[in-house]
Amino acid sequence: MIPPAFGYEKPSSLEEAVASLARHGSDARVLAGGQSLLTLLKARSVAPRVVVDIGGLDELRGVEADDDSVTIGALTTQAELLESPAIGDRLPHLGADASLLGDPVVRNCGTFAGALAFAHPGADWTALALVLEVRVRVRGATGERTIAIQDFLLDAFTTALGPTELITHLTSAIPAGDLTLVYRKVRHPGSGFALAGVAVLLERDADGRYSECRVAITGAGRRAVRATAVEGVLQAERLSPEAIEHATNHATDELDLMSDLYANAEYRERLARTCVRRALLDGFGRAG
Amino acid sequence: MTDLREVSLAVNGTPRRVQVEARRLLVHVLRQDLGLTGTHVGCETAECGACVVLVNGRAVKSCHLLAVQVDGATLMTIEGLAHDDQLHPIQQAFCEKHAVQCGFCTPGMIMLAAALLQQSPHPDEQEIRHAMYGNMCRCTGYEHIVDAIQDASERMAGAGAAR
Repeated sequence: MIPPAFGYEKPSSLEEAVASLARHGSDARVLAGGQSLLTLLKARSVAPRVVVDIGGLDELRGVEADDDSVTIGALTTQAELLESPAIGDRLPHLGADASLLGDPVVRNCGTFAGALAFAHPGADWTALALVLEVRVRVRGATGERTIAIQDFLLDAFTTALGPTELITHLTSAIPAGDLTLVYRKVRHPGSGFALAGVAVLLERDADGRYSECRVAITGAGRRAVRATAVEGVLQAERLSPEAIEHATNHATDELDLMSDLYANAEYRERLARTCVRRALLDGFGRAG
Repeated sequence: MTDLREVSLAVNGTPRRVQVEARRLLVHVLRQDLGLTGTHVGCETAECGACVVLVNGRAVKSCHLLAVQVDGATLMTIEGLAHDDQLHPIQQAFCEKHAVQCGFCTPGMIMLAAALLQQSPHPDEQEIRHAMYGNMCRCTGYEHIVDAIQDASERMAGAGAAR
């Protein structure tokens, strides 16, 4: 499993990187942490003419936070994200479920942005990005634009990124109230990818009412999506164990359920329901 | 024709320089170009962890990195743990706690333990098992490996300064 030969460029500025991509277009692949690209290269699923290594672009590293939002540089590794005090302050429960997010060694190299750009159907980070309502800032030959995450993730391994574009930053307007975050998953025992994974974000206001209930499902469908039917039930009925049971029945309403060699659609549907139930009950319990 | 890139790195305390094609995996450069065959190639799909080494103190899967990605970095492989003829406390613990059977996963497990104990000198069992999630062992059933890592953390705490 040796990658095919390719040309290699290591730009020293974002402008150079954009210029490289403009020159090569879809003949080029961007290398950040490499934890998704190397899978493709080693299996020879892709044979880019050029690999553009953006690992030297320090301006794309780091997490910044102000009162309303966080901005995560595209080269921020998943480990750095989990260790970031800015994130830990705003999302205190992210660490509790961190062991479910991929693989601890891969997290040392893999980036949050890269996981979104790869859009593996079984990725964990896509579900988190959806409940955080991440906005993806990209730059390319035609300039800069910002794409809401639900418009960014289009299909299995397919995003709204154009062939000359790369992600520069991710932003999230993290809600101001009392937040609870939960991630629950059934993982494939070998690869660790989600056969079904559910992220839940709850916000409670000062009166103790749930002002936000966001639910996202990954693994079961071709792309990760917000479970708007579930959210609708919970908004109408107020969060309670009974409402959670009712909502769970709608878990897979919007899902384009996937069958593959790991699990068929019927099994994935059951797993998705179970994970929705577990995530909501645990979120309800964690919120206290 | 693919051109060769120069990659400079510090490996086990020694500066090294290699000329490699950009497509070369770090694990192959370590094994073939630098002669450091203690790091193993297991699954080649970044699942088994037999290839784990430290890059700038972090555990990484060397089969899932291009050598060019670590240009300028500081690496430690299994060969870099022992000093003179003395085994590192983690290696000692692995021996005494019977954490080695065929030995194939062992270098990756030990390097992972080295990174873990550097970051978290007194991990409990759950923390150890979570940290090991990316490393597979077909022989031991993991129990003795967990025991060895716990034992190593006690030895290293007892010894005072972390290595």
